[in-house]
Amino acid sequence: MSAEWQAFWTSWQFDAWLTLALVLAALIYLRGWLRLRQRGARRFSPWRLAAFLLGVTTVGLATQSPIEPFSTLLLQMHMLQHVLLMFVAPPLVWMADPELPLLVGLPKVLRRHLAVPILRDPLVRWVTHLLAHPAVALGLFVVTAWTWHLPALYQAALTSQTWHQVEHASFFLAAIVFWRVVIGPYPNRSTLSRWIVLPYLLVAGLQGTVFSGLLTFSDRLYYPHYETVPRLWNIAPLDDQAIAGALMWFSGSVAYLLAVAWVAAELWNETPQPQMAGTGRRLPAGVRERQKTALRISKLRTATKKSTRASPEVWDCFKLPFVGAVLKSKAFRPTMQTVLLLLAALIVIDGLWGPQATSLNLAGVTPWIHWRGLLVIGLVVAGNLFCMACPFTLPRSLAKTLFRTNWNWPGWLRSKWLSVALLIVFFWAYEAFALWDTPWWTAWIVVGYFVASFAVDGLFRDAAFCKYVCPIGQFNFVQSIFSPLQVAVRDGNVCHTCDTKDCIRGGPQGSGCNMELFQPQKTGNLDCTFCLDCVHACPHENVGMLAFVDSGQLTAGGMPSTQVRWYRRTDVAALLTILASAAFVNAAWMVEPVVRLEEQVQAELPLISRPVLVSLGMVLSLAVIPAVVLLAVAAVSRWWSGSKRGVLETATQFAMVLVPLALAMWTAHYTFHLFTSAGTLWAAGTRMLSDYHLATFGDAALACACCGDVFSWILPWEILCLDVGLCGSLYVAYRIAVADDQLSWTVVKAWTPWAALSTGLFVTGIWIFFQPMQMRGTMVLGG
Amino acid sequence: MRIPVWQIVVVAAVWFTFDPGGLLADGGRVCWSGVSSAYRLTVFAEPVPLRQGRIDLSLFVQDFEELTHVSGVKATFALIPPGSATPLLEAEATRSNATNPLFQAASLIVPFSGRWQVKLLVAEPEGPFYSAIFPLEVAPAQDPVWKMAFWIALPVVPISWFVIRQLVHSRDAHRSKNGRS
Ligand code: SF4
Ligand code: SF4
Repeated sequence: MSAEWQAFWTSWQFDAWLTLALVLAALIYLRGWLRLRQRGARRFSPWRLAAFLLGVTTVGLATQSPIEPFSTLLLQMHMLQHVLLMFVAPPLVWMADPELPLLVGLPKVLRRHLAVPILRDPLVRWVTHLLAHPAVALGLFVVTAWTWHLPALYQAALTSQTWHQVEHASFFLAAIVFWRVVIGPYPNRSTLSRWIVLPYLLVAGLQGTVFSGLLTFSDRLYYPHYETVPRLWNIAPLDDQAIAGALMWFSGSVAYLLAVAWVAAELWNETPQPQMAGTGRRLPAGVRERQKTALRISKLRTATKKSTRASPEVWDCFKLPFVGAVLKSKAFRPTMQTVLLLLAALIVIDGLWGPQATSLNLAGVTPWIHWRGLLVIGLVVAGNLFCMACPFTLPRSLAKTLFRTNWNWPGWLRSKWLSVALLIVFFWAYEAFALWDTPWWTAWIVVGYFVASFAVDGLFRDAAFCKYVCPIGQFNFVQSIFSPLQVAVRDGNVCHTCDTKDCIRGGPQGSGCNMELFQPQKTGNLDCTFCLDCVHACPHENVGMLAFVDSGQLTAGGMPSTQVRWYRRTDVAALLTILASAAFVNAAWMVEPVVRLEEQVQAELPLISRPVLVSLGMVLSLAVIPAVVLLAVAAVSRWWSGSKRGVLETATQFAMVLVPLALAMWTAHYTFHLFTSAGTLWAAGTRMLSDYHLATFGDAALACACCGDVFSWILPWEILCLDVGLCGSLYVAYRIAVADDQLSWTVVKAWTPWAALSTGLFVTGIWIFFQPMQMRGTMVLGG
Repeated sequence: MRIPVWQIVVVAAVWFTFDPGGLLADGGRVCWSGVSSAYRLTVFAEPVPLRQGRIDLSLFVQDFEELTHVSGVKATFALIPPGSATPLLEAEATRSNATNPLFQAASLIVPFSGRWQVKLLVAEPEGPFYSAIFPLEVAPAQDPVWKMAFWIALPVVPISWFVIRQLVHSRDAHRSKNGRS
C-alpha cells in the first residue's frame, strides 16, 4: 500500500462535541422509535431506524473520517464531503420521519419544558412554515451552494478551520431544508400538492448540472489553493477539479433521480378510498393521513392541558434519590453549619495568631478567594446555599435562651436601610483598609459577625439579624432572586384548604418561618434563607425545593413579609442599586487604570489621607452617581412613555433591571479569583498544619500561593457571564415595562432608557475585563 | 408565571458548549515549497493570516522524482527574528504533532510580529542536513477586543430572536383582535 493510502486510512479525526451530538441524536431517535413501536405505530418500521442511523453515520463520516484532513489537499475529497452532507445524509434523515421519534425519545422533562414550548413558539412555527415553502427551500439551497463555491469564500474555508466548519454547517442545514420538501416526512407534511416536487427537483438538477459542468470542463483552476499543495497520487490540480465536478454531477443526478422515483411512486400509490361526505368523491391518501394526524395532535394537546392543570410538573430537588432525603433531614442544616463553624474557627485562629502574610494565611485567602467564589457559584447553580449553612445563626437558640427578652425589632428599623448603610460601610472599609490584605482584620470581622448575630438574635424575636442587619444575607437575598431553585409550595390548592398554616406559625413538626415569609404568598427568593424550617413545619409536606424562576416577582410580587409591593419600597430599590454599583466598583477598583487614577489623585491632593479619599470615591461611586443615573433614566423613561408614576416610583419599579447584570459581574469577578488562585487554600492550609507540626511546608506550597496561570477560557467565561446578565436585564426591563400595557410604542419608550443603561453597564463590564487586574491576596513571590 | 429552569439551563449549556474558536491543525496556507537533492518539500503555516502568538508549521515531504510521500524524515524549524541572524525559536517537526499522518508538524509561540526568517533543516538520506531559509510574515496579535468579538456580540442572537418573536406575536394578536371585531 502506498504511503498516501496508508496515511489516508490512519487519518481519522475525533471531535468530542460533534460525536456526542451525533450519538445523542441516534440514542434519542432509537428511544422514541422503540416507544412508538411499543404503542403500535407500525409506520416506524426497522428500515426507518436504519435510515436515521445511516444518515447520522454519514454526517460522522463526512466530518470525522480521513476525508476531512484530505479535503484541503484534494478538491475531489472536499467535494465528496459536500456530497455526503448535501445529497446523502439529509434525505436519509428525513426518510426516517424523525420529528415524532425525536420528540418522544427526549426525556420527559426536556420534552415538556423545552421542546414543546419551543415548537409551539409562534416565531419558530412561522420560520418552519416559511422554510417549508418550496420556493424558499430551493432558493436557500441554490444560493448556499453557489455562494460557498465562489473562489474567495471557498479559499477562505480551505485555510481556516472555523470557516470550514461554518461552510459545512450551512451546506447541511440548507440541504435539510431542501430535502424536507422532497421527502415530506410524517406528520408535518406540506399542504401543497406533491406534484410541485417534480419541477422543484428539475430546477435543482439543472442548476447542479450547470455547476458541475463548469468545474468539469473548465481549463481554468477555480481554487488556486489546490495548485499550491503537494500532489497526492500524482493527480494534477485540473484533473482533480474535473473529477470533483464529475463526482458532484453524478451524485447529484443519482440523488435527484431517486427522489423523482420516490415522489412518482407516492403519487402512483395515492389510490383514493374513503369518500368525502356528501360529494361522492374519495379523499386522497395524503389528506386522510393529515386528518388522522390533526386528530391525534388535538387529542395530545387536550391530554397535555389536562395533565398540566392537574400537576405543575416543576422539578423538585427533594424528589432526588438520596440527595432529597439528606436535604430534608432535620440534621442536615446543623451539620453544614457546624462544618462552617469549625472552618470559621480555623480562620479566626490563623488570622489572629498566624503569620500576617496574606497568601499564606487562611484568613487571607479562604474568605476572599474561595468562600466568595463558591458562594456565587452556589447562587447561580442552585440558590442561597450560604445562608442555608450559615454558622453565624447556629448559636441563635442559645442566645434566645440566655437573653429571654424576645423584643420586637423597632418599627423604624423595619426596612433595608440599615443593611444598605452597613453594605456601604463594608465596601468602603474593604478598599480603605485593604481588608483582603490583612488576615488580622479579617479574623476580627468574623468574630464581630458572631457577636452581632448573637446579640441581635438573643435580644429580638425571630431572625432579625438575617432580615434587617446582615450585609452578607442581603447580598445573597438579592442575587438569589434569579437563582434556579426556590423553596416554594408544590400545590397551591393544598394551601387553600390548609387550616393550620404551620409554615409561618410553627406547629408540632417545627418552628415556622423566622423571616415572616408566608409560603402561599411568597414570590421569589428575596429574604429567604433556605433554612427549610417551613419544609419541616408544613404538615402536608407541601413545600419543596423547586426549580423555577418566578417571573411574577418582577411585576405583581410583593415584599413577601409585609405584602407591600417591592416596587413601592425605596429601601429595596436602594439595596438593589448599591449591590449593582458595588459589583462594578469592586471589580473596577482592582484594574490598573483605576488604581493609577487613585494614585494620581492622591499625589495631587497630598493633604487628604487615603481613607478619606477612598471614602469620597466610595460614596460617589456607590451611592451618589448610581442614584443620579437611576433617577435620570427613570425621568427619561417616564417622560417618554407618558407614565403617570413619579420619577422615584419609576426608578424603584425598574431597579430590579440591575440585578441580572450585577449577579453576572459578581460571578465573573469572584470566579475569576477562584479559578486563578484556588491553589492558595492548599498553600495556606499546609502552612498552618506545619505550624503545628502536622505537615511539612515546602517550596511547592509557597509557589502555589502565587497567582496561577490565567486560563485562556477565563476571559470568554467572564464575557459570557455578562452576556447572560445583559439578556436578563433587558428581559426584566421588558417584563416591567409591559406589565401595565400590551406591547406597544409606549412600552418600547418606557423600556428603551433602561435598555440603554443595561448596555452601558455591559460595556463598562467588558472594559473592566480587558484591563490588567491586581491579583489581590495572592502575591508572594515577587509579584 | 413560572419559567421552568430547564429551559434556562439547557439553553445556557448549548451556548456554553458552542466553541467558535478555530482549531489549529496541520494545514492552513502553503508558505514555502522547494527541493533538496532527495526530496520535494512543502511547508504549510496556520493560522491564516499568521499572527503573533501560537502558530503551526507543517511539513510535507515527497520523493523528488516519484512524488510519492516520504515519512519519518528528521526535520527542524528554526525561527530567526526580524533584524537578527541567530534563531530565537526552534522545534522539531514530528508526525505525532500532526493530525494528518502525511504531515510533520511543529507548534511555536512567536513573541512578536514582523518579517521572520524560517530555517528548515531536513536530514538527507545520504550526507548532512539540507537547509533552506524562507521569510515568514507575522502580523501583530489580534486586538483582544476583536478576538473576543464573538463572545461580546453573542447577546445579539437571543435579543434579535426575542424581538422578532414579540413582533410576530403582537402582529398575530392584533390580527385575531381585528378578526373578532
Ligand atoms: S405551606 Fe403547608 S402549612 Fe403553609 S399554608 Fe401551605 S399547606 Fe399550610
Ligand atoms: S422558613 Fe422562610 S426563610 Fe426558611 S426556607 Fe422557608 S421561606 Fe425560606
